Amino acid sequence: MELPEPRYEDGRILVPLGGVALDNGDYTVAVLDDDGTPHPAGTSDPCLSIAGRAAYIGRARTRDLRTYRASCGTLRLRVRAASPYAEVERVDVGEGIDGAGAVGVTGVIACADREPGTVEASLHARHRGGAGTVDAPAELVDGEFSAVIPMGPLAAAHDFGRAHNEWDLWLRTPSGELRLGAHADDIRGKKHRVVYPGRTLGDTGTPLRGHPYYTVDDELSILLRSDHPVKGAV
Amino acid sequence: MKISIVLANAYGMGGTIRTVFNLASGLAERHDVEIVSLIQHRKAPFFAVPEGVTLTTLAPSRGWAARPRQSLLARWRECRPSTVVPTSEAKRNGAFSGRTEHALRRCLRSSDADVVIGTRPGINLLLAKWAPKRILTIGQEHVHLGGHKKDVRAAVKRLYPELDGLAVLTETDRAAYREFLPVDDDWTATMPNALPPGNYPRSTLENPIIVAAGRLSKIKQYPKLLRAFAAVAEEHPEWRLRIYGGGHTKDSLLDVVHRLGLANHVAVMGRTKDLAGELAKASILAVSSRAEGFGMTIIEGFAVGIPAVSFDCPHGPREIITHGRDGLLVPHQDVDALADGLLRLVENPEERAAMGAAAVAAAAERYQLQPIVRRWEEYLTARLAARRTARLEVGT
Repeated sequence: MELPEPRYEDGRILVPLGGVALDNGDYTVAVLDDDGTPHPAGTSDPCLSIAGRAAYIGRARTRDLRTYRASCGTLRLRVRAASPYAEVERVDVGEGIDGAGAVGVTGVIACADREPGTVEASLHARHRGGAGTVDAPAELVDGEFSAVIPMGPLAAAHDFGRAHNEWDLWLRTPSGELRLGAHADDIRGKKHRVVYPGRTLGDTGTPLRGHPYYTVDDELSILLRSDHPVKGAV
Repeated sequence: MKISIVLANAYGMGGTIRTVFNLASGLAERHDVEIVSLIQHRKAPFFAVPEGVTLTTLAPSRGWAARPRQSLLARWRECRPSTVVPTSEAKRNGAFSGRTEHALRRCLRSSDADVVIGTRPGINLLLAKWAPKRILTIGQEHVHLGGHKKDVRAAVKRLYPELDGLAVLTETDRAAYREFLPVDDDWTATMPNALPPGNYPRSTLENPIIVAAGRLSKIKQYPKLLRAFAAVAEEHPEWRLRIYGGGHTKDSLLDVVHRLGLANHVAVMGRTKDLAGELAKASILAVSSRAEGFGMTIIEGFAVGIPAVSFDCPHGPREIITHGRDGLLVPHQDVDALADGLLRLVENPEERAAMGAAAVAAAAERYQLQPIVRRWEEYLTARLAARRTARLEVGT
């Protein structure tokens, strides 16, 4: 696909992609020579700006464009459909008010316009493969959210027929439900890379351990398991 | 000339393998180069075999689940220990057995190579013991002399003088060998690892990321780095630490991450095929090792323009890093000093930028492949000449 004429600015070549219809996928950026033969464009740019990405997700988007540098040095462009979600910035595992364990989460609304001021919101945990739900109050101010979800109610609803019980987390706002996840930076596959500590839950006699974790899609969920201890217990 | 380089296992993904492939690719421009791998544990090597280099494998590893059926004799031989390789070396690297020793002897007997280069003590010792005199034998060390166990040192003392030369990574190590062995001064040479050729990305030095890379093993002392980084995260919570490398101690490392409350700040990234690309996303390289045989990661960090903050540990860092110019050397094992060094560069973007520029210059000047290949050529030529002279003297 041919791109619009580039602009030259401060030694950089800028190509506006705003109006370009690009299907989801990964593209190699190439430069056409006089004969129209494409030559892959090399780059020495590491193609990651943490601050740039944080700003990028700060407004409504229906697609996510990001450049990356292939290991051979070629400039690539990744295009993905985007929809509003709740970008997780910090997760804490603690005792909670009832001492039964809790997960604290803070972050920002991503790929949606951030409404100024305080907005009514709650954190919603949904038992994967089950009917159970647990809600906890959330604060949502200027697009920044924080919430603490107690793990006691999750433990109480545990299905001991399954070794693993997963609870998927959503931020409920008046404009819809936003799945919690961490997609802003370049680390894809956080599941085994960014690992949160676990915690023993309650004292019901049946040992249950819970810990927040990233799914294979880098979405945040809470895992409760009754088989063996989770590594890295607090 | 025809140069044969012997690796324990050319199919793995360790630093030695990578640097040997790199050197082989440089030498292959003007010479006939072959890599001999004692064992293989998978079908294809992790790193691509360089163009123009042939790979010969002597035996499939015992641990390779999908290996073809082996003869009874081969299996009997692989249960026998090598007669030359000391126990601790055989324990450290699973490539050594009666079988691979036998296969290497056969390979050397029929070899038409002018030069054979070993790449670790066990191989160097096998070459010293079994290589026919017509082949020039050069040992190469990727670990410093003091890092060898007692039995390896004893074997080195006994057999290395049979080699025609020894290449080590640092001047410090060269001095150690010159004292340890009754050899001429020019018998040893310092041959730093070279940067793999290619276009390197350049860090913007703007991302709040500190990076560390190397196997998750005790010698890298990542728990100490985590403690130092905790001080950074406390003052500057937006900064992150990314640790690259494979290994079996990930769980215990995560335990430390959790104990220090750093789960939000530390990513244990695992292995990567594009270390340079990942280093370039960061702004500072941290090195917390107890010892670094060389410090290849520091040079790769330099190549992408990130300064290093390192313990002043033996041996590599102090020969690569010019303190205050392209990085910071902090007192060995001093976690607070490591934290201070990291904080200094976190808090001073201008100094970071100056050091990053100096690092790129240092990498280009000292660690490009071509000049290092020339050094190898000169060294090999000199050793061939020295051997001829010695033979003439014996003859007269």
